[in-house]
Amino acid sequence: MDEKILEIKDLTVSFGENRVIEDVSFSIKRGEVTALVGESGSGKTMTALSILDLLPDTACRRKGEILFDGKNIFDLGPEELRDMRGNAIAMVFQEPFTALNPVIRIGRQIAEAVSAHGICPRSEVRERIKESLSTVRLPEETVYQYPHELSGGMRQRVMLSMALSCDPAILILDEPTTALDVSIQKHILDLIRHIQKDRQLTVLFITHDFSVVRTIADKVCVMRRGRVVEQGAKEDVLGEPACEYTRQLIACIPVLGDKRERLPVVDG
Amino acid sequence: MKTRLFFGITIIIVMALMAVFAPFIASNDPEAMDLSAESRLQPPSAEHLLGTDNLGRDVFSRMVYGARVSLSVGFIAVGISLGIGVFLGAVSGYYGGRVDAVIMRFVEVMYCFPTLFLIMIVIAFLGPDIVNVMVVIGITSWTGLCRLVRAEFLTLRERDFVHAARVQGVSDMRVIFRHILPNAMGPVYVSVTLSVGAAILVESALSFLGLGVQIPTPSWGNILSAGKNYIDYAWWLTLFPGLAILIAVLSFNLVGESLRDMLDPRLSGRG
Repeated sequence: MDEKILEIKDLTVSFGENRVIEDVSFSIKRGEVTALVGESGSGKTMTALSILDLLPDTACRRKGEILFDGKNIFDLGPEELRDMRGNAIAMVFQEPFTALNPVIRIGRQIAEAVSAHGICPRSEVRERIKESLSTVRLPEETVYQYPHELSGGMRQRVMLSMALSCDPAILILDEPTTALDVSIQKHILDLIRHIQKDRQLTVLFITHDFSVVRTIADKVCVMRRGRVVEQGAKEDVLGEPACEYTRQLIACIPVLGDKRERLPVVDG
Repeated sequence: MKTRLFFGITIIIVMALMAVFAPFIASNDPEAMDLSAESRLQPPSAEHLLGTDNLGRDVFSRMVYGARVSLSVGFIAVGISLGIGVFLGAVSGYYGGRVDAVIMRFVEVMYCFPTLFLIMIVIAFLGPDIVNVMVVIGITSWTGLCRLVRAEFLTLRERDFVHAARVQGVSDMRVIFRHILPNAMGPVYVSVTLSVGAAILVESALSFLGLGVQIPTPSWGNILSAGKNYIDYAWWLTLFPGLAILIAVLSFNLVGESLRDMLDPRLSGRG
C-alpha cells in the first residue's frame, strides 16, 4: 500500500509576475487521506486545479511536474486529459449552491459524469445513478429533483455522489464542508470518512480548519503564501509542529470551555 | 403586462391557424382571375369579404394564403439566424481568445452592411424566390443574436457548475450545449420573438419592391404593392394587407417585450 499514486514536483504557477504557487512538492499514497491546509490565498485550490490541469488560462505560467501513475499530466493531450478528469481524478467544490446546474435535474447531472466516460452500458446508467445516490444516503427520488429543491447539505451529497459515480482513483475535496453549517458539516465529514474507509479511497482534502484535519487526515501538508511550509504524518504535525505558522494555525482552533477573549491572530 | 402578452399570443395563434387552414378558410382560389368588368376592383361585399383586385381575384383569399407565406418566411428565416447566431455566439463566448476575436470581427463586418441592401444585392444575384428570401434574411440577421449569446456565455462560463462539469470530464461541446446554453435561453427567446416580427417586415418590404415573393403567389407585401396603383379608388387593396402586416409585427413585438419584462426582474415595475 505504500505506493505513490500522485506526486507533485517543484510545481510553480504564476499569473504574470505574480507567483501564486512556488516550488510545491508533495506526494499522495494510495488509500491515504492527505490534508492540504492553509489560509485563504495560500494556493490550496490552485494546487488542486493544477492536478486536473484546469487552471484559468489568463497569463498563467507553470513549471514542474505532476506525476499521476507515473505519467506527467502536463504532457497529456486534451482527449487524455478529459478522460482523466472525473474518471481517474474527481473533485468536489466548496460551494454546493453554485456547483450544480440550476436547469438540469439531479439524475441527468450525475448521468453526465457517468456517460462522459462510457464506464457502463446505457441500460445500466440508471442503476448506477441510484447506487451512487444511495452511497451518499440520498433517497432515489432525488433523481427527479432540481438543485433549488435541495438543501445545502443535500447538494453537497449530490456533488459527492457525482464525484464517486466514476470510481475515481483520487478524490479531491476542496473545502467540502466550509459552506455548510456545523451540524451538517459533521454529517458530511462522517459520510466522507465512511466512504473512504469502505472503498479505500485516496483523498486530497483541502481545508483551512485544523479541527477537520484532526478527524479525517492521515497526512498533513501546510501551505502558506504559495509554499509548503511543513508536511508529515498527522500525529507529528499536530503534536509537534515544527513551524511557527502551523503552531499559530493550531492555536486558532476554538475549544469548548475556552476562556480566551479573542482567538490568536495568524500573521499571514 | 399580462394583457399585452395574452393579446399578442392570441393574434399570433389566430394568424397561424389561418395560415395552416388556409384552404378551408379562403372563400375563393387566391389565384383565380376574373377579368370581367363587374368583378374587377369590387369593394368589400358579402361575396368578397375584402373586395377584389384589379384582376378580379378575391382579396380575402389572397390575404389568407399570404399569411402562410409571410409567417413561414418569418419563422424559417429566424430559425436559420437562430442556428447560426447561437452556435457562433456560444463558441465565441466559451472559448474566448483568438476564436472570439475572429468571430467578433466577422460580426462587426456584417454589422456594417445595411441589411436591406445586402439582401437586395444577394437577391439580385440569386433571383427572387421564396426560399432565397428566407435563407437570405436568415443569414443576414444573426449578428445581434450572436452577440447576445456570446455575452451570456462570457458570464456563465465562469460559473462553478461549468467548472464542475469540466472537472467531470464532460466534453466541450456538451458543456456548451447541455450545460451552459439552457441557462442562456431567456434573452434568446425575447430576441427571437422580436426578430420574427422584423423578418415579416423585411419580407413585406422586399415583396413590395418586387424582390421577394413573386406574383401570382400572394404575400402581404406584394398584395400591397399591386394595390398601390389603385389607391385612389380601391382603398381596400392597400388598407387590409397594410393592417395585416402592422398587426402581425405589433403582436410579435408585444409578446417579445412582455417576455422581456417577465424574464428580466430588473425591469419589473416599469412596464
